[in-house]
Amino acid sequence: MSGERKPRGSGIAATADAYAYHRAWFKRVQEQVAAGAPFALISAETPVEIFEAMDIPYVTVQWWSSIVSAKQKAPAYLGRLRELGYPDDQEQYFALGFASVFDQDPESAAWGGLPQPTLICGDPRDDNHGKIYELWAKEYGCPLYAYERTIFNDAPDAWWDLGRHRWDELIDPACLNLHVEETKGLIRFLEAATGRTFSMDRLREVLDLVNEQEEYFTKVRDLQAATVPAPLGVTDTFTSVMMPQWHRGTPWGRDKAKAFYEEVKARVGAGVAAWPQEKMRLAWFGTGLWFNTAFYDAFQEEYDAVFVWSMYLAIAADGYARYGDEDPLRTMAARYAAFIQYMTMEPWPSSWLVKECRLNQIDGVVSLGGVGPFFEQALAEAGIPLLDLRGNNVDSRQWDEDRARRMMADFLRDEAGPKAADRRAAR
Amino acid sequence: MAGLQEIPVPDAFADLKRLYDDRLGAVRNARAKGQRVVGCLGGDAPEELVMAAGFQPVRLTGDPGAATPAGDRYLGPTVDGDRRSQFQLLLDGAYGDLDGVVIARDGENFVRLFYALRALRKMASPEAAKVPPLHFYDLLHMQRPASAHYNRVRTQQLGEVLGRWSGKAVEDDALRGAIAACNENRTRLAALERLRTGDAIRLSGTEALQLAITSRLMPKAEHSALVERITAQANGRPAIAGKRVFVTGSGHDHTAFYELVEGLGAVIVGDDHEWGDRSFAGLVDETTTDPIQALSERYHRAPPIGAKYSVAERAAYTADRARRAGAQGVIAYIKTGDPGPRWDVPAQRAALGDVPLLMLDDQGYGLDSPDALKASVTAFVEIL
Repeated sequence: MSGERKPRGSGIAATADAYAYHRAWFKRVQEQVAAGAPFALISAETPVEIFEAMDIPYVTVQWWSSIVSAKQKAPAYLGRLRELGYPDDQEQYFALGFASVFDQDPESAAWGGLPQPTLICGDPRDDNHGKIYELWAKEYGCPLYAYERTIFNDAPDAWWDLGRHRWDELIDPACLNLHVEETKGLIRFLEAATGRTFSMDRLREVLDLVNEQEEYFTKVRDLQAATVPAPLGVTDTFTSVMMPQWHRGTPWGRDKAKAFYEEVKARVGAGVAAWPQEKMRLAWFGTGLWFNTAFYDAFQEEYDAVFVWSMYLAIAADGYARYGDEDPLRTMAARYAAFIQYMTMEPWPSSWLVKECRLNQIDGVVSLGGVGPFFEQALAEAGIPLLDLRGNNVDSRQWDEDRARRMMADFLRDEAGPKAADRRAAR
Repeated sequence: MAGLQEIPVPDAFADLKRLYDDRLGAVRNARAKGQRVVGCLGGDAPEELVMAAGFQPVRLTGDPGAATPAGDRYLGPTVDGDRRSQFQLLLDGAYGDLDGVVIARDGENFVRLFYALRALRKMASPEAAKVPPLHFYDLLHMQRPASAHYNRVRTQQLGEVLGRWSGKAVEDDALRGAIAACNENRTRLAALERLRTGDAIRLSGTEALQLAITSRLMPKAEHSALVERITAQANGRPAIAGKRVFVTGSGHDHTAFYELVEGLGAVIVGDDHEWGDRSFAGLVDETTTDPIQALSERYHRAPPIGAKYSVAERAAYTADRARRAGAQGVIAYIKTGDPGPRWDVPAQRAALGDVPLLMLDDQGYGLDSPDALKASVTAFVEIL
């Protein structure tokens, strides 16, 4: 997520600032770990707030894989996995990070290489993930703490309406209860593994900072959705959103989100747009194309087509802020216990995407593939064109740039273009 | 007495084959006997609870010979063919009249199947008109107290759902009776190991898999009687010759691969997938005062399969089972869309030491390329 590159986009100051901060932070962590400090490698859907509250630096698996991919390491690293007898065509977003463990040369490895983790924490929601985390931990010689992922039988459909305050109506209590117990287990595990101590008061502070941060992102999302032409392209948001997200629960994260909002608000006030000639508003559904983020800006000049939406800002707006005063662990569980279901348990993902497309005045959705018939049907019923490019977001071996651009050209001309013309005519 | 000897003894193996061949008719056969039937998807669906609620549990197999257009469309190529077939058969109403379906979480493909069925039902899609009531039984597999407690809650809830489906609450006495019947059947199946791994092998892997599959399709007492007849008849057979092979990897709800291997000079002496020997490993504690807890424990503590369990657990289990069976070689048959077992292979090789392992990757639900498979297996068997 938001990988190795000069930050792209339309000159948002928040992007460059966030990128510079994270690079400096990572370098500092490398030095601290070399001096004996603890460090955690975790999946993005595990409760980072606990690590923040215990002052244990971490990076997420997804972020690290995006960096490795952006460094154009996928072909060599995944080939190495195959040589070792492992699959190279399964869950590359996670497997690629694992594959990086076999390159310990700081000259070659992305960003000088991942520091030796004290522990790995993951959520094996797929039949690959648990194995990848386990093998990764074995290679590093560090322990693994895995979160269970639970499934529930039924739930209200509009999760985004209930998630903030009425999550107890949304999420099966057995799932919340287990998540709380697992987090207690994680705390004990971290205390033993790192010697750091946990404070519930400190966690409350972290959770408050997270909510503040996400509310700023919600305001940015709403500004972006309502403003034509859009103040931001997705390459403006990847780094500006995800770097604070990787530091959420810190004053820096909250402050950067606030600064981002104020910058966007000023842009809107001044009529500054990512692409002033914007005619088509596109949504990119799914994880980012981290080895090729230039792709997102490639259709502005010729087609006046702008990718204005990705899930990163939208899920920051709808998926994170959670309120409840009695038990911080339970409130935090409301953030994570159903997080995967938002994107997997139909009709949650397709109805959310349709809601977001309508809110953001989207003329066409582009995906890397595998969205499935429920998405197709929901978008078709909403009258929103969909293009399935078929590819993998970190495995550049599967990418054919010429083919993708031809598909985009056809899509913009035949489907998104007419839809956009209708939208503009109706204004 | 001389006349009695002329009465032909029913061939137990012929009966077994007939039951196995008619596995897709199991629901209708139970219905014809007046039984109410709940289908089970996944080996972790606790059949004891289904029985205690007054239903005949039938573990649903797929149909490797049938096309799966709806399964392909709704689940996609990243989901294994077994699940796509089961999905198709449910949409088609091909299993017959089911009072409900319990879907367990043997792997994440079961979650995907459930989500797709759930979504179609929520949308009131005509395609889902024949899908019976569904319940997802979210049995977790990490060996931690919190997971065990969660499983206890889910098992209790499953009992309540089954009670609603049947119109009658599940009683402890009924559950104890069901547990005893299932335990007895498992014990009998486990005792067949002697016929599969001794000095003289008298039960083929194909037959053993047929027994394991049919045990989940019919009343336990009837199946236990069948196992007894098979045992008696097998004891009088000549020994089966062949290189001793153990099968790991993805599950097999039909015997096509076993038949292929055993037709090439090998005999399958054991396996560790969810339809095979693992399906009857471990008993439910019958001495406890809390049968729901005992039931939950049995399924939670079951031996590891390729999905949902760690590489280390799998490698140790495979090596232990293969050694116990006296296997000369191991074949890992791994299906497209079932990614878990693929990660286990390097560790399985290491754990097996000098017992060679043949990996057959990207395999279909049926035998998509039998000639290529035969060539690979033949070459492997020759080196054993």
